[in-house]
Amino acid sequence: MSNILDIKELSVAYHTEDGTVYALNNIDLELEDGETLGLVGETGAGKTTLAKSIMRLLPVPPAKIEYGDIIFSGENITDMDDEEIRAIRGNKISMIFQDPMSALNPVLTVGEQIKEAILAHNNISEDEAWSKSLEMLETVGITKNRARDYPHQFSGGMKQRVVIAMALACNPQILLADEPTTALDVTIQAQVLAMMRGLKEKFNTATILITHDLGIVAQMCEKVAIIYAGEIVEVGNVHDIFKNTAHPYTKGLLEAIPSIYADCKRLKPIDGLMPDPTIRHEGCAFSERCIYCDDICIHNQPPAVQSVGTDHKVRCWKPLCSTLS
Amino acid sequence: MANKEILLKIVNLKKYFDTPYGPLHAVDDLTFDINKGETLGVVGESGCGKSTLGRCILQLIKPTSGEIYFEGSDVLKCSRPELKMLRTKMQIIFQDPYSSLNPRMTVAQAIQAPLLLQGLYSKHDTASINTRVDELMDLVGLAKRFVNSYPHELDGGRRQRIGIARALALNPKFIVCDEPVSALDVSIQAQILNLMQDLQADLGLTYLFITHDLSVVKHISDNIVVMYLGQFVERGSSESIFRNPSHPYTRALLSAIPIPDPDIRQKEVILKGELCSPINVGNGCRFAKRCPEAKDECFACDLSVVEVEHGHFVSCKKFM
Amino acid sequence: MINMFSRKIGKERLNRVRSPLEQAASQFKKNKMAVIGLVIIIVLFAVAFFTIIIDFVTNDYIYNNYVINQNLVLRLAPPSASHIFGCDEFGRDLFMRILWGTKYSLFIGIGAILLAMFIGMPIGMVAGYYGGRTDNVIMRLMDVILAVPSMLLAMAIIAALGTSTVNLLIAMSVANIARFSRIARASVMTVKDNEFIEAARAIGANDMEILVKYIFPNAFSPNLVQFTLGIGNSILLVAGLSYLGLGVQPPSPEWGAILTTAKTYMRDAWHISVFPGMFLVISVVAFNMLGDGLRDAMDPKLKK
Repeated sequence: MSNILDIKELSVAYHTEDGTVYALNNIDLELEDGETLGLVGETGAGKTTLAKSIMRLLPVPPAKIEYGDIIFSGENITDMDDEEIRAIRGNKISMIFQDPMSALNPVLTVGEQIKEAILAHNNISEDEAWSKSLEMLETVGITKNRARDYPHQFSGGMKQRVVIAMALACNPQILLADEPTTALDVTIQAQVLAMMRGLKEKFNTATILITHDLGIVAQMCEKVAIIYAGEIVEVGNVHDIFKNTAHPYTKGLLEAIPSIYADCKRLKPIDGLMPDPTIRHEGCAFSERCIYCDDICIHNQPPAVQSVGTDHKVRCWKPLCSTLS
Repeated sequence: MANKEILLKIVNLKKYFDTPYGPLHAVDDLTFDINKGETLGVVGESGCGKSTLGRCILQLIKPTSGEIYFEGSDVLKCSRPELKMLRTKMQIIFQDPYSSLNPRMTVAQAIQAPLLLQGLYSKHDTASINTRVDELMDLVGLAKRFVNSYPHELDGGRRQRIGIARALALNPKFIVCDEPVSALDVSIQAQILNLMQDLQADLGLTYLFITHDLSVVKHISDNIVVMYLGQFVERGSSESIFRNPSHPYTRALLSAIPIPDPDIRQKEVILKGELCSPINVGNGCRFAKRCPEAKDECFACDLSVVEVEHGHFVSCKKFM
Repeated sequence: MINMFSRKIGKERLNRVRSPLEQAASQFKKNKMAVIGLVIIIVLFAVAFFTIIIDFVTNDYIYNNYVINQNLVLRLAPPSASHIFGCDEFGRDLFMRILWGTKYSLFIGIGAILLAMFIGMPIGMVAGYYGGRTDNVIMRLMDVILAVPSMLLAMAIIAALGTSTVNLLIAMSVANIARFSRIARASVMTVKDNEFIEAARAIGANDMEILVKYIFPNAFSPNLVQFTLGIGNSILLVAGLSYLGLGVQPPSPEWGAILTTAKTYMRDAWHISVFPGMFLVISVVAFNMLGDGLRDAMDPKLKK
């Protein structure tokens, strides 16, 4: 399987009047064709910055790609100019956001919006685009006769489906989904996730699913990357991440979730907070909060890639599991 | 079983809002009690009325009809000064740590506001006020150095601690917690939940814990009420509801939670359709349209409550 | 991106805590135009106070002998070394007249707006906070006032009440009361739905306490901006009314009053229209720049 997306040593910073915010530090990430990768992290970790960097949607200035390469389908897109990147956006790489309210234009019908997305990248007639638009709506579970309705006439879950339809209209090779179900109710979320699983089988789009919910990751993804303070601290297949957890942060996250299946009296939170992103830390970013922290962790940056299994990498001086198990 | 003292009793509580399209049934005929020192979890998705319920109990919204008994007396009938007194006993923690704090007040000012408003301390008694503020900040785990910080300088977890300190300032007996951890990150969520449990144990607090997250509610509640579109759907102890979820909606809700274990492929009960509008609802079960087990009779007449096991009630025709 | 910014204020931040006011002030200082505007306004105030003090100390000596005394020999004299702005149709030194006219424009202009704000803000706040019928009644009343052009409204009121400084102030503030009430109402409505207002109610605050301690500090900034921007208009309104003979009465050297006769002599004595006009423009622009700067200084804090 070839890599459709290869991110090498990506570093992004925001230069503001109040200081420089080091949003991403030395990110290495690979995405294979047709694979669903879960990107897990908390607020401020850099997940949205990473997604927007791939789409080149970052506001430049104050943001700046300081270093690194983003290679899409063999081509380096990091330094592409506006016109070239626009041909890719929406067409070969699509993105959906957390809030469906703001992603949809309130004065256009949903059918129109999908049609526009198609016409932007395809040289076909309006009628053809319209019928393709109706097809897409059906694929996401919205009946054709709702194509002439306006966004405000749909509920949250339906709006998100429309957004997904728009994103997949041009059959992109990569879909970036930034917390697509966080704003939805749990039962609606289940519907939308089931639909996304169906779409995955049909279109085989490589997906980066950004979320903070480890449950969604376990059910939807093949590979998982954990991001903390702008760095990827662990990446591996979903089984390894959950069962052979290597990084103390990942372990901390897994233990902090209240579960309906286990009976525990007291949760195990991770003490402290994510470090200040305006300060470049000397050692490991997680050292202040890590219960296994040692001197070496405080003063030295852990090596970027340390293999602890097949395709299982961790950024830690003292990984919790070592070599193949 | 020890004789539990009932702290709060809700009887036939209703809240309807007037809209141009008809009455919006936000809370429809709810009856339950909460014992002293316990936590009642109220679970439901958006539009089920759980937030409205919390606010009605605190009289931030005036209920349309029904009775609310706090420590035996009907709070809906009390006078203005009595209501002000009542506020020292019943408090609320809000969901959004960003909009629930006055951006122009420092941490200290926010925490001492209730003390000054209720006249517990005079404005000039700065020494006692500061001592009390310090005490409260310690109680909720806020470092002293934030005393003069503004909310916009702090993260969500710390802001929520300020909200908790503010709620505790008047030594209340009962606190409505309106989704207090929903807006927080997982690791911070765990910190705040542990804090709330500790406070409950140390101060003897009673909580009404409103949330949409079943895993959180299981962890913190003794008893649970499940709501759907303003009606109660299932009610019972936390243990019995999770062991024996009876109402189709409760079952759907439970199965919809993604399990954080890749080896378990859950079988979801995918509900049909969307939440319908709580405006101008007719008789019959409001969940029937989406229910995988609905029958014709479910749409027609009024619901009746069935006790499926001791203390565990379900509002569904299936059990009749 | 917003998360990035909120995250950075953490336990390691070494800068001292800044209140919203301090933040707005530092933002304001960065806006060069606003600072220039502020400087100009300070100078104008200095001139106005200077003239008042001199009048008080010299017992109107300077005023009587240099500002209003007529010297027909110098009638319409153009700008020269001894009279840098020239003289008007009565031979009065224009420079001195303009200096002495500063206080009228400034104080009546500001006074009228201040009065409008003190009356209009509470009205708007009550309308916004209580909503419903109260809101409707109050706002329709304000609509009626706003329907009449402010100049005409002011003229009508002065015609009814007579020409005096007090009546001038009343006339000028009436139209602006409606403007302030609208803005106050809108800003109250945005703040009112925030949870911290509910929180205040939950701890036992009554309506008055909520309006004064919680809503007002948060809803005030748009009013402040309207205040400074309104001063510009106000100054022009005073000038306009005086120009029409309805405002400050001669021989008081209000800038608009100076312009009354200036138009007759425009061809022969350009200086009588140009210099007062210039001062009017500079004052209004200065207040507008200040207002813009204030608005920008308040906004970033809101956005963050």
